[in-house]
Amino acid sequence: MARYLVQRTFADGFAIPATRHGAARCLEVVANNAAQGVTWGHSYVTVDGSLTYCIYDGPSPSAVRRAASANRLPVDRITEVRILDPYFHH
Amino acid sequence: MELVERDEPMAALSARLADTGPGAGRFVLVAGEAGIGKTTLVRAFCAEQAGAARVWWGACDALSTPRPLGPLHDIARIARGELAAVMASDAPRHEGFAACLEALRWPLQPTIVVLEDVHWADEGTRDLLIFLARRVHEVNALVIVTYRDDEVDAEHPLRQVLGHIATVAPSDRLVLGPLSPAGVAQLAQGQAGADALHRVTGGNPFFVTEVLASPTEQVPASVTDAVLLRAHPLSAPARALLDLAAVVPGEAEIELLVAATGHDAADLEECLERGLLIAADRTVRFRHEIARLAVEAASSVVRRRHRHEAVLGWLRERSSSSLARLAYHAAQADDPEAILTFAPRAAEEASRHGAHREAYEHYRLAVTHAHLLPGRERADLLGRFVEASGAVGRFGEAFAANGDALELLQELGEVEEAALATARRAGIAWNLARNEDAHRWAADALAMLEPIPAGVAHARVAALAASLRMLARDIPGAIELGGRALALAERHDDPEALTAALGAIGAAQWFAAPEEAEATMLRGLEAARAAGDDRRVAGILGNLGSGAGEVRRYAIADRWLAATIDWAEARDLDYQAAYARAWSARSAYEQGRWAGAAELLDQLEHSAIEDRPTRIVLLTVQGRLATRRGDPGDPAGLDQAWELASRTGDLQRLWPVAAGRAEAAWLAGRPEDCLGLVGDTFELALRLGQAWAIGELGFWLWRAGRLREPPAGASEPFALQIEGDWRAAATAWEQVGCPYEVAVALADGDDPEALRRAFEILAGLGAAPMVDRVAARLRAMGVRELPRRPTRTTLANPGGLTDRQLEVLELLGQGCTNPQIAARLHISPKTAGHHVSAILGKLGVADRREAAQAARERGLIPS
Repeated sequence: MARYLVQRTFADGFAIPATRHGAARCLEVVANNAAQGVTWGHSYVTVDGSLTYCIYDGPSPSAVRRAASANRLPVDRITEVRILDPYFHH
Repeated sequence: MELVERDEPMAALSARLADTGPGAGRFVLVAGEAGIGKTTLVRAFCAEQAGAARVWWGACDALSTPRPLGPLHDIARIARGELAAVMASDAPRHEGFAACLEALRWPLQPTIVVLEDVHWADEGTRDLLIFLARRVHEVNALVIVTYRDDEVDAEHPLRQVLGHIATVAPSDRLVLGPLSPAGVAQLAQGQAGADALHRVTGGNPFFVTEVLASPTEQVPASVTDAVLLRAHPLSAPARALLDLAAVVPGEAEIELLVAATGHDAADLEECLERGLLIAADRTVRFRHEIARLAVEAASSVVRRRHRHEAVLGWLRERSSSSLARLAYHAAQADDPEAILTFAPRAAEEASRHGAHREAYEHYRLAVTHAHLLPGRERADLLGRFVEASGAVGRFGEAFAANGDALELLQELGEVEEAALATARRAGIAWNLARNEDAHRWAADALAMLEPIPAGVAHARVAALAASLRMLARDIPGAIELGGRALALAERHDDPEALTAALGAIGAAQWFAAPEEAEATMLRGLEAARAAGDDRRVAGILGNLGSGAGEVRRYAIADRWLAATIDWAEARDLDYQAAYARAWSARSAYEQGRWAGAAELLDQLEHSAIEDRPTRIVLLTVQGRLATRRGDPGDPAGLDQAWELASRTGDLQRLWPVAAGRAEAAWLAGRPEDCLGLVGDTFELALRLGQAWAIGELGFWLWRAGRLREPPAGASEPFALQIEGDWRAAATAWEQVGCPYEVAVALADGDDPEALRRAFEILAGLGAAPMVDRVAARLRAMGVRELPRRPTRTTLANPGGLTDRQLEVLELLGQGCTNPQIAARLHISPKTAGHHVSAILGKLGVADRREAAQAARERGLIPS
């Protein structure tokens, strides 16, 4: 299992409403991810909603792409990443 | 359990609930066989209505002595109050009924009363049903009654009750049918083998979900338990008939069952009543194939073998018995003599009908007993097994059997046959990527025939040798040898050699005289069709497609590749279908249809194809796509492809991988690696004079600063780019139909407008590394505002459709049929059908016409 940073552009802005539909949409994403063995950690979303950086764990970039396709989410770029934090050397 | 294909009954239940009100109660009878999802449906409905109605749920149990009024006791526990008090006391049952009715006079909200599995109801519960039916119009309740209609025959006590409800109460009946293949596929969530799953389970959702939940077993324990529970109360004669029927796949003749067990046909009645078997005119069969497997597996191996012997004996006495059935029972009875008698004949029949996988299985069974046959017959059987296993892509097995056959033929002194087997060996070696061996054995075969007068064998061997040259892109050699083979084939009037020779010459012409290729190959195709040679037809179709693809004539390539897939899949020619799919992926990738290419590659990755050429194409396209997308980790695929391609030594395998590795090195900022990665292959391309290979490999040498001028013989778009005429190169690529290459050419320019155009194309493709390069160049030119990235997939997509479904929808809007959609997108018509039904579901429409209309209204496709 590797960790990936997935960059996505939303030309028309990105929004998940804080409603029942929004919650259902998130669960749908999680279910579609699970079908590909992919886990969505969390995302950083630009203030205007046009760009997201999402942290994923998954078996391969192609699995991440398959999940994205099932979720109707765009993919600009997938980068394999590792964690570094300021206290790593302490 | 997930609810699939139950929108209609759900809507019907909602409508009936809406009709229900104070003084307007009603009944709904939900009927269907065990496991069809009655309870699942009603539960889902109740959950959905949880806010709008209160739910009372009572169930009958399959006890030999049912609890009196069991469901009403269940309900009393939920309802509490007066009803609970009455039911807890020893009050006579009419007081309980009255209390129930009283509690249903709920002022505002309706009550959903569920009485589950009433085919098991005790007498008291049946009376309750009649009581409620008479008075339901007085109360605010929707009474939902579920039962197994296959267990309620004319004699069943429930029959009368159901008739009564229908006459005295406002009532509706919902019959739940099995799932369609598409519904099963949906439950299987893309797992392979959904069609087989549909066949085995008959679309029964319980069986489907159980099998999906235990992928390792053929019949899950839960299914075996459910089936055996049903078979348990059968009398001994009925059980004996059932056990015998269980060893007969499909329809079992009643006469056979009676003859083999010595029991009376009347005893079958019990099995029919229990819903285990269903009867046709003079046959019976299991209601579900999976139930047959469960019953069959419940007997010991020894008993099963005896039963198969009995069936085999009965079938042998009848001249009308099918060979496939005889071979099956011969195998199951483990009778070598019968196997050698029937299996090869069954195989022959199967391959005549284009069922090549079945033919392979029959031959494979027969060859396990081949040692019992005399030499010549044995060699013949082995030879036919080699063909059959080659047809389905089992090259390892084909190679081993070919070795045995060859040895026998040499011992027997059969020179021509031995030469043909040697040529066959060469062909198999090519499929196993042992190209050096292949060329050596082809030469051996030709040499073996030299001492004897030219005949059919000479023509066939020469044709095979010609196609090996063609595959190695030794084009003049292929055309010369192919010409010799063609002349011999015509002189000796041998259709096999004729089709092989025309196929080899035609494929070679793609690289020498492309305008002539199609015509020559169509001649070969006609000959192969006339000779009824399915494999050769697939081979020629495939080479029409891949040959055109290699010279980047995509429209022609796509048409023939789709035709190849259709032809090969309909005839179990798995590896030829797989090769054409891999090539379709390459064509889609080169034409910038990356999502489609990735989908094809994913499908292929899960198929077990031994064919090395297919594997190499697959890995190459996968690796190149990952490189252009900038996906991490995947270039390892290109190294693997390179290793496999190196073993073949064939330019057609080496060149695309070499170019892909050079591109990866260049994008990673290591242009100096390019020479080492493409140098040798470039030399080979020059030696063989292959324009597109020279062009692409020369391009990378030029990028690495190793070439200044376009190499002689390079294809035009690459030559233009190397000359520095990026505008003309972009136009040339546009004509060829390769958007990525268009963008790469534009990106070589110094015109901001051209660069912006390149950026848009590349961002649209999702080509991250090149996007970054172009963005950096634009910024360096002082361009602040980068073009917006075009994105097709967004959360705003109102239909909730995937990219692929949008593609299908667009074609659907153009009025394409499933086969046409399949051909355009390089998927099977079945997959196209799945997409279409998913689209109908997501758009909530009934048919294709409505789908197109809805899609236009919502702006999903242009109107």
